[in-house]
Amino acid sequence: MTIAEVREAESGRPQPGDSGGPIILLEDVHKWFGRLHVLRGISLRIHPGEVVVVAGPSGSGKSTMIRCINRLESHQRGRIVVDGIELTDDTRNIDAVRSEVGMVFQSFNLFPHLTALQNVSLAPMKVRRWPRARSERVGLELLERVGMPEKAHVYPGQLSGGQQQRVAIARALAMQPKIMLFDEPTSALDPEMIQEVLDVMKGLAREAGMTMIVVTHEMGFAREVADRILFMDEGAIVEEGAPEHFFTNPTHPRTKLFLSKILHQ
Amino acid sequence: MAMRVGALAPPDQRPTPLAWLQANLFAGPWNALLTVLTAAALAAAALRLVGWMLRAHWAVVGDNLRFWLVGPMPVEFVGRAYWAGGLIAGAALLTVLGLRVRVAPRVLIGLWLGILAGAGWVMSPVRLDEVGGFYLTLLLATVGIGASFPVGVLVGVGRVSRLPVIRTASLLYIELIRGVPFITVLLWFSVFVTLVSGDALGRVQRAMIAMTVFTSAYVAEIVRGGIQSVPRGQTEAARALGLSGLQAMRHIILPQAMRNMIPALVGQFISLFKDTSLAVIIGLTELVGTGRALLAITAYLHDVREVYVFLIVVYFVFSYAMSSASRRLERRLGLGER
Repeated sequence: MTIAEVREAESGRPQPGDSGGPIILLEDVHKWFGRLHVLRGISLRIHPGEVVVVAGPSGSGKSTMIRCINRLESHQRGRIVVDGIELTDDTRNIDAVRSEVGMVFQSFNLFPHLTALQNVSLAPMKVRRWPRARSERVGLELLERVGMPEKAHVYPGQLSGGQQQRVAIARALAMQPKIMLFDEPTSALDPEMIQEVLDVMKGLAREAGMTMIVVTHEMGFAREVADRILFMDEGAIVEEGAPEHFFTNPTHPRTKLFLSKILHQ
Repeated sequence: MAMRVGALAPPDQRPTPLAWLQANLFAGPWNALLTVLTAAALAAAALRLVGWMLRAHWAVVGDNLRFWLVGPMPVEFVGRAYWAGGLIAGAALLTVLGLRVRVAPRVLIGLWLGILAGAGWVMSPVRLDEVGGFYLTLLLATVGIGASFPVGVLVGVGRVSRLPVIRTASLLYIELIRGVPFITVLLWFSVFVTLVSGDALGRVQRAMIAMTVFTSAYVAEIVRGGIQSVPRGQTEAARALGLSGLQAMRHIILPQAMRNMIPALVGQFISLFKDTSLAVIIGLTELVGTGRALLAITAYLHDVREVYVFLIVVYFVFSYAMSSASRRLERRLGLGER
């Protein structure tokens, strides 16, 4: 990375019309769990509006990497800059980044004691300090966008897995994030519910132009929606490229093995 | 080939009463012998109990209701005590009715604050150390529960804090208190605290503080368990949305933890209610103290059994009421939310 690029990344948020600056920048990021070296020098730049799919075997560090981007995990070496804000121990920076970055979890993590609408409108009310009426109006719009306005007053326990995950997506969108992180959003779903969640995500990528990082094994989704696919193994990005390159012409043997297993089952 | 299978009713497998008796009480000679012997022993015990009950002198209860209720309170204040008791009983009744028709909790809390302020005002001329009987038992239990709950929640949240100073202080407090019996805490507060406080704190107040300090440590552990019973993903989801640590605790973790905590918490509060009886050793005339004071009167010297049976019944009725109320609460909170 050149000095000019680093200066650009540090110069604060990109202004409208500001062309080319990455919205997410990872530079030689390392992380250890105890003695276990889980991220081994990750460098990555993601531009606004880009949809990046991260694939790889379990234990390869995919989830840890995206959890570092909103500081659910802290990295121990290297730099992470999100929307012009560098992630450090400074809690103000962390809070600022978290309110720009939405996250969707494998196990949904909806709040079981709140209704779908309360799940969606809680954060705008408490973090953005919007009045209840405005938060709920936006919440209802979002529930409509994920296709379940009629479930607004239902508790998560009464929803199917796919419905819960769609509410979770609406909940993340309620903070009007610039970036959405998806941590294996369909891995805990019954097969017949995967498509409804993927459809919502496709809509988000195509219509809203959202910047998205998606950790997933859904290669159909990757082929159709991703601008770029990363393949991770043992804490490092071993292959990176556009879907057509990734599926037709992988170079790394580990990628070839992974693809042969996942595509020909 | 597709075939629809009609649903069948489950088979009736209940035995007839005679078959049940034969299988459970008279299966073989040893079983029959054991049944007969047990029945004979029970019958003999019941006969003696009934005989005692017919001869029992319940006058020690019936003639001293005033002392059982309010203890050695000066007679000119007794009327006030009954008024205050009536107010609180009325509030309890309104609460039960209010829960039936699903009044907002805010209204009920307001009602209780008002009633308690009213009762406090009615009782304000009475010195705390003059009250006794059931009144004192209830007062000790209510203040103990009312104070140890918030303190316990604070210490419990402190116990899982990320700040080492707060975490260690909470841990020290919890382990110190849990390492000593309640009686010693009670004695310590009644003997040593006066070194510092002088006459500023009466005996009853010292007992209240002792109960709060003691029970808070246990409440804190229950709170910690409740907090840790909420899956990690809940905190992560809350933090990922931008909620601060305190906001996540207040809006996401504690509401869920609270429901898991109810059975243990009620158990702790029932045990606090019963432990008020230990205040008798620092000379308070609560229920047990009243019983002992009455037994010291010549006319009642031989009514020990009557007094203790009465005490058992009173403690049981109130403890049972608390535990059945908590079961209802659990059922109500459990509905439709998880």
